[in-house]
Amino acid sequence: MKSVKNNNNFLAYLMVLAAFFVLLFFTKNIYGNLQNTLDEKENIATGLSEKKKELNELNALKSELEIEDGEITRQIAPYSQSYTEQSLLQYFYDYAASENEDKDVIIYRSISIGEPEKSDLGFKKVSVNISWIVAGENTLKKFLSYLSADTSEYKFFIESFSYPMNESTGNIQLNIPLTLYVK
Amino acid sequence: MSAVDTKFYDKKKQKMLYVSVVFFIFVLLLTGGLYVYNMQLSKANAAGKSELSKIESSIFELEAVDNIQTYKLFKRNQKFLEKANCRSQIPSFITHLRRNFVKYGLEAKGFVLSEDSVSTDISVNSSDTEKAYQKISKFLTQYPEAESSLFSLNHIGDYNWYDRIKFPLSLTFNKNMYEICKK
Repeated sequence: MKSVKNNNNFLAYLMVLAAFFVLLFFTKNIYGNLQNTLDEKENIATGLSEKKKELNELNALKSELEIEDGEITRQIAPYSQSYTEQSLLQYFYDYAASENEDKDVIIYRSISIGEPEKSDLGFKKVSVNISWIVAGENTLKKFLSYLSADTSEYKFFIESFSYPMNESTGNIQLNIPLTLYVK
Repeated sequence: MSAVDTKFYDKKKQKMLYVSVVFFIFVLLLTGGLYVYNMQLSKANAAGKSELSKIESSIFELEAVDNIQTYKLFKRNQKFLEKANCRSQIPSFITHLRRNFVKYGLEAKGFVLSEDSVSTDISVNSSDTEKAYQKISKFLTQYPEAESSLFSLNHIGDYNWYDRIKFPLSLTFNKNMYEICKK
């Protein structure tokens, strides 16, 4: 009888020892892993929420860009154009031809089209230099407006411009450096 | 000799065994529970990661669409492009400068536009009604205050005062110019 009672005591200590063994070598590790898993869960939830939002925005943008006469489509139209040297020459020639009709109001002396370069903006930058003679300031203004209009086939930017105002009554000879940004 | 009553100690040992067994079982249950919970969370995380990967892949595909790339570049550079567009509105500057030179009685042979500024050489003659310096004074005080002015005046400093007054005029685009441009 005494031996059984002593065994009870021993068993009790053994159980406590085993419990601490499990706590130390299993529970602690599992708890550590659980913390990592919970952190990962939170990160995934945040990532999912952000990415879903981004995807929704992109889908909405794609839908808007599919509308041909939409605001956004019009905004990016000048930068979506593809171009070739031939198409640019044709563009300038067509404009002059439409303006000239029976009299020469626009005469190109030289057109220089640079190779596309990478710009800081991410767009390709094409430098075009036009040397030309125009008959009067109104023709000049009209052509410059056409070159920089959002609605034109190509939208040129004029970074510098030198204008001899005193010659505005007769023919005006000008060099204009133009910049075209394309995708 | 009377026997010692050991019942109290036996009960205590028995109770200790129960407590240690309960503690051991509690530790096992806790460990098992944490393990199962961790497993479930890991599975959920794996599913989340898979969903995240799918969304990222969809985003990647959408971002490769030409129009969307162009729009993103446009948005990134919108302010720069808007400013460059304003600077390209040469016909407006010609009209504006011409109108103001006439209004204040200034003569300019032309102007050079570069970056955000316009520079020109001005000469002013005295007339029957107004002296040259009065015209300049009027221009220097009234033009910067005018609501319609597109430029701010830079420091002039040098005036050549012979038969007529000549000075170099340097103007910088003001906020007005960009506001008008946006409209």
